[in-house]
Amino acid sequence: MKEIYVLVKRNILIFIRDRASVFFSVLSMLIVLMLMAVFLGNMNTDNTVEVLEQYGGIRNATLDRENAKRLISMWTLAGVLLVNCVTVPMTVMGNMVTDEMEGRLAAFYVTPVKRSKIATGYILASWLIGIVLCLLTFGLGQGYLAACGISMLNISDCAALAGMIFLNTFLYSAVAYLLALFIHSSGAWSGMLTVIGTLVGFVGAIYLPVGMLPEKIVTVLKAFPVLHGAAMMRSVCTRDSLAATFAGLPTEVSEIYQSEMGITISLNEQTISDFTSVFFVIGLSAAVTVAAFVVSKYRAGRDR
Amino acid sequence: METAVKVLHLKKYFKEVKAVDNINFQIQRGELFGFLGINGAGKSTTINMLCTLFPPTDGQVEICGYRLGKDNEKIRRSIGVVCQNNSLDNRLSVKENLVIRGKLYEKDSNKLKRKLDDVCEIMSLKELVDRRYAKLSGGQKRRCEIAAALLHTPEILFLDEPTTGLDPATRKLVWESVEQLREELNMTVFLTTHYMEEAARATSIAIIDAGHLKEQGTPFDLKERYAKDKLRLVAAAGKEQKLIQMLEQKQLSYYVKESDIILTVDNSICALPVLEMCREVLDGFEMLQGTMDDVFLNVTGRTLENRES
Repeated sequence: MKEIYVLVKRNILIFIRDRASVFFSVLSMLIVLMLMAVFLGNMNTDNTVEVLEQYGGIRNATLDRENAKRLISMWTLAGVLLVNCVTVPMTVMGNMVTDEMEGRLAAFYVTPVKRSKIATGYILASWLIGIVLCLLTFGLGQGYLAACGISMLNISDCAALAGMIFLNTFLYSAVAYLLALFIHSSGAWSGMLTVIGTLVGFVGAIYLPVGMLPEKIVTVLKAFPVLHGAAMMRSVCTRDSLAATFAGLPTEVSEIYQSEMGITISLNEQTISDFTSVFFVIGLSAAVTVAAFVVSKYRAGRDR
Repeated sequence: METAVKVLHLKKYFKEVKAVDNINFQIQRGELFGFLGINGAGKSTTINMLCTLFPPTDGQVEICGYRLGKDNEKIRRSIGVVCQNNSLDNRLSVKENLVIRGKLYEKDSNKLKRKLDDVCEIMSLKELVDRRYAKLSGGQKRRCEIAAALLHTPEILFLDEPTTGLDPATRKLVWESVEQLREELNMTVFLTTHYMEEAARATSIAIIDAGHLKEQGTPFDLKERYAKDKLRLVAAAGKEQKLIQMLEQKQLSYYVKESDIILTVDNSICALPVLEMCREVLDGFEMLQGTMDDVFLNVTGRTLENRES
């Protein structure tokens, strides 16, 4: 265990000593958050208000807009956090690719430390940094929303969200390790990160609500954990806002809205519960971790 | 004498490419073993197999009595490896780097601290420990790399081209450290190098070419067999033709390089009768010792220039 602790500490130190990397990891998320709040956020707020006007008849227009604004802000924050859960561990794992390129990985492999422990060191470091930066983004996002006059999440929702951040960052840390076993240049890794960073916004229906995407594409997206991760986070983030926004309206209106916005996912006309999504992500995390260790062990026994 | 490394019929094939093909050698404990070859000859492949980085296609290897493939973890505990490229972290200080590497071998912090002090003393790193690794000079970095490989006091130290790219003064420093290690710890050193004058320091040498072990022995032995000494004669003014006539009369083979006449002789003693004979027509002479370059050229048919191309 001590070796794992040493390797995790080393990997974390390597990342945080690269201050520019840490700075841009946080900054890029905040930029996305602000861009969405300013541009896409307004569009989504208008759409929500329209839904309320359509189904709600005569209601308090100012209150509806305020509720819709909070709902969309929380929806956006959940999406941005999910993007963070994917990209931060991937960015951190880039150090493993650099280590391989510069011969450091070989230097670790000639020590008596098992390759599984070296792998664990990389995965845990990515996971821990992912958690910290996601929580930091969450805190900054909440602060920004509070500054805009939008009330923050309560403690229990914050705790639930933290749990989802733990879960999702672990999954993508394991995925990042598995990918890093196949990519042997920093350039290729950066290119892949750019593609993933862009794709994840669409795969998780974060930039565009899932209801705006073609049905067939949505069916495919349901097989990816990104959409489930985004849905479970949105579910927690928007729980209070949804109740307030759709108060007094028929339940179906709220259900359709949640489905269109990717807050819930339905399969065969059945809504998938948050627990099912959580188990899906846990199961996938376990499968990816096992696959990563198997590939790593297999590679130890053959030519690299 | 105890055997530190025993290699029997070692092979490594990458599909059709026979990177290492049936090589055999032994290294005795405390030896400085030089492993020579041009780029692509199979040096790194061999060293990577011995360091357990990848498995051989066939053959047997014993390191410190442990079988490769069976006791890999024990082998890793017995060896220290200094890779061709610097492998410590630029963003960490020297001390942080050494502590991290040391903790992968030694769990007891007090023991590790003592070892760290010893190694920093041997490698003259005391004043550098708090400096960022990235800020060090090339030579200082190499000393740190060797220090990191020594923290667990390995029985065998693998040095893969440890002085490549260093200036002569720094190379000298690195070599003094290696010599000190051998003297003080009786450490076995497995060295690959491009510098033939460094190879000449080895107690035993093996030359590998195209995956085959071409020759092995002590530097003296190899020079005796493959590198003749040369006698450079400088004729007195106007006596060049006379000198050549004398050599031809005695049927001595020679060649002219610039204005000098060069003869190949078995050893320095054999030069004495020639010098005596030509004494009156000579302005000066020089004995050129056979070098490892000559050995390398004669064994592999390649020059060091070929190596670089």
